[in-house]
Amino acid sequence: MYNGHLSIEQIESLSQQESQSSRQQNTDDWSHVESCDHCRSLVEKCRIVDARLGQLASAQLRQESNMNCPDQKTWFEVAAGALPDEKSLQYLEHAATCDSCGAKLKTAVRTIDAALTSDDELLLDKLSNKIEPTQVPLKERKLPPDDKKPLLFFQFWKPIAYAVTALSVFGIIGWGSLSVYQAHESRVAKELLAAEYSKWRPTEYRLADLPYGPPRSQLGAAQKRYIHISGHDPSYRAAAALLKLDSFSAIAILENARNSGDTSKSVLEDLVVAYAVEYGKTGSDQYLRSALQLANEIIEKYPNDSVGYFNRALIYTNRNCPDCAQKARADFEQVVRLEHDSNWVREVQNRLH
Amino acid sequence: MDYKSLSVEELVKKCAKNSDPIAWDEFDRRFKRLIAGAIIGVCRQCSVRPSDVIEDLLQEIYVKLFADNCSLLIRFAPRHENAFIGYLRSTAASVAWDYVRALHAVKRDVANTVGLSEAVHQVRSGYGDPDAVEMTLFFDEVDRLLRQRNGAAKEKERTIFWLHYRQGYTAKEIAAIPAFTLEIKGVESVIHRLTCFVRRSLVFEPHIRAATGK
Repeated sequence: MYNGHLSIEQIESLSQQESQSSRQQNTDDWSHVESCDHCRSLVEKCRIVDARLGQLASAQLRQESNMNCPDQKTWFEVAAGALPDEKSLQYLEHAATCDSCGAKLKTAVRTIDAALTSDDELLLDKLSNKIEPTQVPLKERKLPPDDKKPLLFFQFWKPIAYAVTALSVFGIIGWGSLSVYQAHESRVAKELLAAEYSKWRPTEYRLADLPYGPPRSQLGAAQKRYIHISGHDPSYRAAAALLKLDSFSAIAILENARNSGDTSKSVLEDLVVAYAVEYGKTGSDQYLRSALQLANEIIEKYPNDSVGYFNRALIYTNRNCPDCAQKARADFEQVVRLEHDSNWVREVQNRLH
Repeated sequence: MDYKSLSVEELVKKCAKNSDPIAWDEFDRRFKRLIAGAIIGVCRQCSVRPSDVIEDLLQEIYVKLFADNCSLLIRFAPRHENAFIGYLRSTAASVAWDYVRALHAVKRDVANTVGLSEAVHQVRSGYGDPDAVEMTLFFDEVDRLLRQRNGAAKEKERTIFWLHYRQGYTAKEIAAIPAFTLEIKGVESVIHRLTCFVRRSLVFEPHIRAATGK
């Protein structure tokens, strides 16, 4: 006590005590407050200040104009720590007294700091193991149409019309020469791949439209071969990727082609090989399942295709199911029946024995 | 090359410079959950079921990272520790936010609605209401006191004080903001210290001045 009155700390402490039980702990102080107008007044004033501070969050205060307030993206950057601290503190200073930005920042903090529930963890575990970034972007598939687009078109219709006309003229002229060039390019690519492939093939599986090549393990040669394919044919580009044992890129190239509508036999057959090789590299069963599913589709669509049976037989050989050995044997026997190239027939007969 | 031993910045550089799938595998392994966490956070804020959108949004974010030969990664310049983590989280949250908002906008004809901040502003303007005037005066008085304080971190502490009392943030929410570099206890300490300062300035100092005649 100072000069017969309670100290600041004592008054502050009493101002925060409400319940009867807490009052019983400081009976001397409370009896003083009840008899001293000065101290009682201070306790009351402290309570008023605390109450007002507590009401500020829901109070109706004047608001400054929020025309220059940062957008939600900025608040995500602040909440995630993507900005330098000095810059973030400038934004935070604004958010502390701007209701609109304070709410946006709170949303951002709760979003970034969200703790994952057990359901969320289950969902994350279910996600596919690998994201394929080469698929068609979501924007092109799902987002709603932008209302402003027609307006923009009408605003710039003249330059667009000129550009379309010019492009059409150049397109007609260029198309003929491009077709000739592409045919040449494609022939060169095929010859190059066939030459490499016939030395030895990079994997036990069989790629589409290429001649026989003995499997790599038979020769013990260096693992990777790098050849440059300048054409646009996805099968050739994927075959080049597989020659350097890059099954990940091969999958990306072929899935891209498939998503763009190219479901030709060569694309599907090479995709079976790419998935099977990726299984060999990662050990992830989902790749082997994808390969098997595709091989089934190919055989259903092309029942006389020996490449499909050959690859499916090898997939069955790698799977540990009870009747897999039997299924593999049946497929190899189909290859012997359908295949015209004696090299492939000989290799399959060796496998059967 | 063993990508697992690389630091975050080194791995990001490797991914930006070449398309080695093993580097991207490692990127996926380290950051997929972090990105998915941000997406789930947005879904929760917007009452959207994460399972409906998460695969598409993950794909969208990866496409953004790959776009223009990984230009986002190439241009990224870390200005501080953990900058990339923050960058990735905020990018993921922004993409998810735009997507979910676009979905909602289509559902409820956005042209016929008023922005929430505008609506709140109209309701909470408070002009002419005696209580509002009194609270505004109180707010201005406290803010003036806080600005007059001395100390190196006075602006940072004032910001924490108002985030708590004006915007209703909990100490945990404030501590989650990286720029403050404080734990929950640290935030609570700042709020407690400044509350005592305000209380003493408004309640006790007038009494002391009156008693001493200053």
